[in-house]
Amino acid sequence: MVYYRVRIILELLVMAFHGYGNIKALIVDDFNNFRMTVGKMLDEFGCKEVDSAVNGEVALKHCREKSYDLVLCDYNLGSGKNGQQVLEEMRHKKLLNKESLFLMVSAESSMTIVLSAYDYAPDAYLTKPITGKTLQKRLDRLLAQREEMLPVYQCLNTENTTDAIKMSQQAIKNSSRYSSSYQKLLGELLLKNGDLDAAEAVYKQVLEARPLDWAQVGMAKVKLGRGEFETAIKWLVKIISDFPYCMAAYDVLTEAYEKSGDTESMQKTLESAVQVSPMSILRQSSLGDSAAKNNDASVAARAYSRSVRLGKNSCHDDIKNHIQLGRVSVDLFAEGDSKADDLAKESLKVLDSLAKDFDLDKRVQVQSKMLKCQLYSKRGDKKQASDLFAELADAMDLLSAGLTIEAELDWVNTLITLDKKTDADSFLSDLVEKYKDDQVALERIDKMLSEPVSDVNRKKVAKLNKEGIGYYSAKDYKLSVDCFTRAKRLFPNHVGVHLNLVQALLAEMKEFGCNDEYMDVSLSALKKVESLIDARHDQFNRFLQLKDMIRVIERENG
Amino acid sequence: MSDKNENNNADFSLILASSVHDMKNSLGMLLNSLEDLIHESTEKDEKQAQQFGILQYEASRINTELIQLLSIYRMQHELSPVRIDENFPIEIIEEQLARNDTLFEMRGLSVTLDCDEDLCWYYDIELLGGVIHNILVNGARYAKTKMKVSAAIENDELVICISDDGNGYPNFMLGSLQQSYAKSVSFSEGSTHLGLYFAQQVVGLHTRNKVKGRIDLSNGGDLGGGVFKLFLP
Repeated sequence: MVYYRVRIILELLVMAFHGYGNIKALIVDDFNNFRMTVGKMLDEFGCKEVDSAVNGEVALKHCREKSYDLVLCDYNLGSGKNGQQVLEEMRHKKLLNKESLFLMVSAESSMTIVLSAYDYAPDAYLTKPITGKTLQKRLDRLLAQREEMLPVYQCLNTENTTDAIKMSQQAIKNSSRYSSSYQKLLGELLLKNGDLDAAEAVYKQVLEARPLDWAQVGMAKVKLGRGEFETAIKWLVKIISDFPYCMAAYDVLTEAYEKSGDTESMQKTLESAVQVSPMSILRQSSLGDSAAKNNDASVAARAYSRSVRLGKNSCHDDIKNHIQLGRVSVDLFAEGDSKADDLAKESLKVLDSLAKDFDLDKRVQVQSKMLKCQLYSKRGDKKQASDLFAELADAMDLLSAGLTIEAELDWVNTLITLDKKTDADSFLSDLVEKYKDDQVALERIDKMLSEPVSDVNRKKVAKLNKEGIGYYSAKDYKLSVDCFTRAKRLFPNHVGVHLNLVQALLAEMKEFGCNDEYMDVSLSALKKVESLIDARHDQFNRFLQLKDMIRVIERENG
Repeated sequence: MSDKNENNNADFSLILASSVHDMKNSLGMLLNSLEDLIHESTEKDEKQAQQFGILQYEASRINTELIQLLSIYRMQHELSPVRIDENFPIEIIEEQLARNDTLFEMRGLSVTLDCDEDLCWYYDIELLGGVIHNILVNGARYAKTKMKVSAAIENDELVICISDDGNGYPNFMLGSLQQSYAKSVSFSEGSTHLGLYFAQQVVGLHTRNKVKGRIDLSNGGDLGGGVFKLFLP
């Protein structure tokens, strides 16, 4: 067989890059062999400064000391952080400049799609085995683009958005080879600046050529920015059905539902997002928060459990996820969740190692103990529960002044879990008084008050009602409103209190004119009453009368 | 959310997929070492060059086939993974040519590329890269001395054409690939045409206004051998 040694592969070197001499590169891999091979390749391309790191920690240390232009990082780095977590931390802690390139190396090409569903995406993926020629082609391409776009990135490094926008617009006008990248960037910058019309024009131009996913998401963001929630939501749902891996679409849809107050759809969206990107700690943790708010302990517990697991080696690990796991696991028992006991066991372990994973102050230690006490009790370990409770009762005397509302409610739950109903009720009503001017705290307490309420609270409400009626009779409507507002906080399901409040508000508005805030409060109080009673209720006629009067005021004031 | 079906429903395709995954990783190591070995051995007589060529070609074929198996598994069992964006065909082709450079050298093939450097089109860069790689590896098997890759826009579609000066495709494979995959599987001939099936799947994921991408096989062309054409709307 004759071998033709004459090779005429067209060395077009279209976008050949000639600036390797100035490129500072970092290679991260746990295999010495790979670091050597790739290091040698970069040498041959002309790189003068090539460093290497054996694991994520070393890589991060290098990045803190030196600013790299190029990072080649293997995904699988052995026992510590994986490549994605290294990228996450470098970007999150701003250890990389905007123009720095991060290339993820993985052993299989099909991993790309899995990886791209993380919170942060690398600039490119490389699949092993890497040959010198392939690497050079890829780097030539990326570095040539980086070189052209460098002025824009430098503006971004100094937060100079205005010039970055101008430069991008000029480049698109000049039909730059990288117009598509400039358009992507320009759209984001305009959105960030709140220039919705200009952003819309950019995305429109892209979409005229092709229905690309990122431009469609951009368009939805424009709609969202204008407060057109329904349209934004409709579009995003469609984008997700067309491009199920387009994570940005899930994130924007979540935001749209949150802004429109649809907490249930928000949770559902996060649920589908974590199915596509199960490795994203930020989405898992958001799902936990969203489900917990919706009182869906089953979903919340699982999401927090995954957040805690993903938090290992991640810069996004958050003590909140660990504590919340314990908190929602307690609720699982009430829901009759089949895995309640397993998750409770897991939560206890997580809480036990809390001190090892985080710096704890005294208050968090107490909080963790409360949750453990509840979990032991729910699991039927009365001995452990009562031992912890004894310790807690002592600590509470010392600490009660310095606890957060969250911890205080944990204490209420602890009392309820251990069947100390009277103590729970009295502690709870103290809390309502304590936080009477703190709407955020009150919202959290309200949730507890939908439980059957004690005599103590009933008496308190009766007293407030009487006071309010007194002020009303004396035509001191403002004080009357205050009384009924406090009563409503204590007793969120009390029909009479709501109607009294509306009546006081009506009187106040008749006297001093309509007021948006009062109107909103009246309407929501009426809505609440409507959900509580029907025509058989002895206050139904009064409700109808008040509703009519509010409508009249609403009409008169447009 | 449910926690069941995590382990107890492990069907054969799943077992196969994870096993393929494992094989692929081992093969990756093997290919890497081979590359080093070729790089380091300075004295290359023709016989040795030929042996290296065979080793590398066969290992890379297995590798490609395993990747395709995994990709097909994903296409069938998971969400459609296509991510279409604007790209430069010259970049994806050059990269695949570079990737197979050693193979062409060992086989003594000269490969020419005809593609406008400013040509841009819309496709999934990873998936299409896999298809081109696979057609190049296949072409290198049958080409005698030459291969040619070209890309251009025709009738508002990107046409990538890979041709060689070999004996061409057998008659039953010619034409638009419409027949079902099962028909083209031929164990007796040692060919599963997995590559073609993969290419067909990938190209079919590229649609525009309900027009699907397609593949066409013919013989002849400039070089007189097999001509593989893919059309992306």
